[in-house]
Amino acid sequence: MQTDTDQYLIQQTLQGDTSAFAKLVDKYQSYVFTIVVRMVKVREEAEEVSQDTFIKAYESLGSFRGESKFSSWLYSIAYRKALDNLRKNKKHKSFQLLEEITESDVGVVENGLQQMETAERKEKIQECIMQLPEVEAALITLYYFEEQSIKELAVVTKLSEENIKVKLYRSRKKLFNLLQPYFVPEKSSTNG
Amino acid sequence: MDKPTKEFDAIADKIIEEAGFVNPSIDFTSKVMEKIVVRSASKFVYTPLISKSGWVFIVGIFAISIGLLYLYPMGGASYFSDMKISELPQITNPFANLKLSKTLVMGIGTLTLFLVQIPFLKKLIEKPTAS
Repeated sequence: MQTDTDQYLIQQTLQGDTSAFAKLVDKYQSYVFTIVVRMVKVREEAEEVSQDTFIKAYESLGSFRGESKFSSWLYSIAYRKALDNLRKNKKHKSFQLLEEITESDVGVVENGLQQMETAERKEKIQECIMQLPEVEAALITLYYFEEQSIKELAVVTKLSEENIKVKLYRSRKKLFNLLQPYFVPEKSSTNG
Repeated sequence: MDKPTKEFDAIADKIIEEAGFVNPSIDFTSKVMEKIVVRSASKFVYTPLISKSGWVFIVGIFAISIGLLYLYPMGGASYFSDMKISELPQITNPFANLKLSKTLVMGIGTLTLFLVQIPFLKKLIEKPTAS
C-alpha cells in the first residue's frame, strides 16, 4: 500500500498518528494559503485563516466520507473560513470594470507578458490577482491553478454552476483589464 | 454574455499558472501541529455523571429489592395509616385573600408577552443580512 496517498494519511491520522496529518499539512499548505491570501488580501490574516482551516480539517476529519477529493473538501473549509474572516472584518471590496477589454487587447497582454522578466512577470500577475474581488480571486485560482472542475467548484463554494461560469468569465476579463496598463503605455503617451 | 474563445481561456490559464503559489511562513506546519496538540489537550472529555460501575450497582440494588419483595411479600403492611396527618403543620395559601383588578391582570399579561417577545426580536435584529 502506498504510504503517501491522501487516503492512507487520513486513515493514519484517524488512528491517532498526528505526524500523518503533518504530512497532509505540508502537502496542501501552499494550495490553501494561495486561495486564502487571494481572498483576504492580508498575509498575516491569511496565515491565521489557513491555520484555522487545517485545525478545522483535523477536527472534522472523521466526517470526511471520501465522496469528493480530499483537496476539494479542504478548499471548501478554506473558502468558508476566508469568507467568515471577510464578514467579520466587513472588508468587501467593490471592483469597477474600467473599460471593456477586447480579444486584441488580450493579445497585447500576452505579448507584453512574454517580453517581461520571469520574476517581474510573476510579481505583476500576482499583484493583479490580489486586486480581484475575493470570491472571483478564489474561483480563478481554483479553476486554473488547482484545476478544479466547475462541478467541484460548485461543491466548494456552494454556488450554482451557471453562477460560477459567469463569475469566471468576469474575473478573466477583470484580470486582463488589470494587466493591460502594464503593457500598453503607448496609448496614453501618443495622445500627449 | 459572449462566449470566451478557447484562446482567451488558454491565456488566462497560462497567466494563473505563471503566478504560481503564494507560500506561507516556513514554520507553518509546526505552528498548525502545535495548535492541534494544545487544542486536543485542553479539549473537554465527556465523563458521565454516573459511571458504568455505578449503574451496575444501582441496577443490582434494584434487582435485589424486587427479588426480596417477591420472595418475602409484605402484604398488609401499612405505613401511612400509622402517620398522624392532623399533627402535621398545616400549609395554607398566603394569597387566598388577594384580589386583583382586571386591569392589573391584563397589564401583567401584556408585560409578560412583551418580555417574552424581546429575545425573538433581538435575534431578528441581530440576524446578519444575506450577502
